[in-house]
Amino acid sequence: MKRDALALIGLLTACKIEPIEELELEEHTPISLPDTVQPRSTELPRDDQGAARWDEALGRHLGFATGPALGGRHPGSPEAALTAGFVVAVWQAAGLSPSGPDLGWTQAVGVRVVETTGLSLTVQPPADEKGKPVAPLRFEEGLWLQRHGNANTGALRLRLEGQAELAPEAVPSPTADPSVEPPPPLERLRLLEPLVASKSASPLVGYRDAFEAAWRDGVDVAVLPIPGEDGATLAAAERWRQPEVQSLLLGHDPPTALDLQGFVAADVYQALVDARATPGATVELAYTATEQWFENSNVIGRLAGGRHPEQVVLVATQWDEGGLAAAQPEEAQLYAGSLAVLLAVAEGAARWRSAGRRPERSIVFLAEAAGSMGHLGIARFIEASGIRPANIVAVVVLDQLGGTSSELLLVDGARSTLAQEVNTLDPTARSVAAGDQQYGHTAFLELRVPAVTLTRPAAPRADGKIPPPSLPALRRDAELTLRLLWTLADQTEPPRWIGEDQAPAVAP
Amino acid sequence: MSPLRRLPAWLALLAVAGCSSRSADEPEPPTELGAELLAELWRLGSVLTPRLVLLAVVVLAVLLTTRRGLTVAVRVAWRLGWDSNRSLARIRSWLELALFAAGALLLGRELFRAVPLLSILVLATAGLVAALALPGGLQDFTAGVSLASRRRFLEGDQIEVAGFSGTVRHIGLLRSMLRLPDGRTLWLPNREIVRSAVQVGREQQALPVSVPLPAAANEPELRERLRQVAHLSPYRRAGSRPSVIEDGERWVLTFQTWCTRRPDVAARALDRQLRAVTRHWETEPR
Repeated sequence: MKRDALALIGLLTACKIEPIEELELEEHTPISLPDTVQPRSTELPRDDQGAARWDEALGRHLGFATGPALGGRHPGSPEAALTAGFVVAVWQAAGLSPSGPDLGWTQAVGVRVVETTGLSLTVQPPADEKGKPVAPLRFEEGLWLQRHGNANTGALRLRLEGQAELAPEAVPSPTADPSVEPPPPLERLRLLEPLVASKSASPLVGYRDAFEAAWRDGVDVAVLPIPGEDGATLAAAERWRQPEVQSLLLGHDPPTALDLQGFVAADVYQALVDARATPGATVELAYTATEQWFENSNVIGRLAGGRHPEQVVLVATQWDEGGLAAAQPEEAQLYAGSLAVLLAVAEGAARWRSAGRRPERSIVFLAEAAGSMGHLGIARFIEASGIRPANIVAVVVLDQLGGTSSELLLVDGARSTLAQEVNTLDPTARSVAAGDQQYGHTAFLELRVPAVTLTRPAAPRADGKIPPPSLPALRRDAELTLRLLWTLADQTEPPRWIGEDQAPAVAP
Repeated sequence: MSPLRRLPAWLALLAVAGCSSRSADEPEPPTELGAELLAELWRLGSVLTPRLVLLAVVVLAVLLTTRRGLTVAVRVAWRLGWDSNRSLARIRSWLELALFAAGALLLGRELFRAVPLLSILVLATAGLVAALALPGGLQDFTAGVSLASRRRFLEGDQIEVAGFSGTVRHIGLLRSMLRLPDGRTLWLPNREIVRSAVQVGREQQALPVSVPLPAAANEPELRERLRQVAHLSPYRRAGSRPSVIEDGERWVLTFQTWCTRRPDVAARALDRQLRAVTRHWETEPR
């Protein structure tokens, strides 16, 4: 009796009754192949079968990613949601599991871009000895200033920090008329010394620290002189010339920061130094800050591991292109190759899984939003993906792939044992240092997670244009990526992080 | 029997006496039902033993712990990628219902055995009170049972309901939880979800897209080629098959797309592609 009941329960469990899809339409005409067709991959020699399958997948994804339907995959554009939907559709069809923080496929990445324009700085010296007003100095050029807070139009009346006080007899007495409102108190302007920045190893970090220290001291505006010809410091300072890009979800308050911060040209800085030495001199700074706010989505899929499903090998690339610039033409889409590789690798891994091979650790696929705006998607992933960094054993970020170079470059490969893993699979791969360029893996390295960026950039042609990704190169990179991921997921000893001081020196 | 155990019976007797409209000096013999009820009330003291109370506490604790454990286990399974179709969601809901039913039967069995009439009376009264005083709770529960099948949406889907938009984190028997885009959490009563129009933005869903074919598609060979083109479209949902059907005097190609948020884009792209193929077909020498 009990056996019968168990058999009945087993039968009911096994019989998964699928609902009939309402949208499925009756097929009137059977599929018939056209007269001339490419040989199917199963008809090819065994060596060519794998290559044909890779080429088919890569060509399909590359064609769609660079096609007009996705409009250049520009962040914040209407096509951005379409691109994320396309990635979800591919991974869903491949059989990956959704692994977003809210149990779905996606994770919202908020981007707030604040542009500060209409900047003008006026230095007003005090009246001369005869009481005659002195002509103000007005600057509209050489101001690389950013506003991080609320968008508005304003004019700040400033008093320079450390400015000599006026003599008591020169201070105008407050008016006795109660109907006249007293002038608002002046805001504080701090002139930062150029040396502050050069003390730090990274100019960018040094600048940020200096501005933050000024904000903590209660200053309202802080400026530095634009550095001279030194490439690194000038490149870092250029950030304040561009719009400020923040990772901020819609509806959240903008960060608290200085009213304005940044760099001024040498003549402006000198005028401010002179004003600081002049009692009674005031400064007025006018600006207009406008903001653009949008949300795109990281897409996160997972191939569950067998033995250590909680441990993760992460592979990521950005799905967007172009950052704040206008939409890129098809031939200038540098990251379409890496997106095609990520999608094809996900399909390949899922195919292996359905064939019975299960990795020991989980493989997580991340198509990053706002990657072209400073890898905000990866920052958001680290912040709130639900995957603890301690459980991430290795990170492989795919940058520009499918280029003409014969060498695959491993950015910061020497900062972990990942370079050795890659070199075992492809001895021609070469480790390079990150230099000034921003890469997605850097945030993981700061958390001491072994991370590397794989890139095979294309050299520009004689006419200055960048050639489209080469399919054989993409195939090679995709095969290497899949093998690398599987190796990392299966090996007993996970890769190790190597400190910067212990890492062998490599050329940038 | 201790006086404390008889207290409920005395209280009930007092209530019955208080509700009676007859005077005390005209005693009416109790009816058969009344006598049975009184007898059960007398017996109630002996039924409510410490053992039964302890059993009730243990059963409730086990129920709540199991329910919580189920929720956590299902969520862990999803986090680890073990259930890509989210089929564990409806299993969890049905198990929850089964657990509650089993708990209620287990606890009620003892009472029903000892005092059947009183139990039915209490149950009916409680049901009436719940229906009158707490109509929302019952409606929520009923809605929760209807949502348990997950036919409308699943955990992880993005929905718009009752003026709120967010990702479904949890579907319970009384309430469901949404994670709003700004990170806040919203608990919605299930009756609100069932009453309101729900827009589900699930990426893995499909929408049909119909594109009228050019006049040249009267030729079966061209129709077949166009259907093959649609089959290779990147907008086609994997696993679905495009079909060409005759609609009045024209032919229409229909296929399912994954692009549920912008089906117009998929339709335009396919239309462009089909027209190009048709032009090529008309000009190429055969």
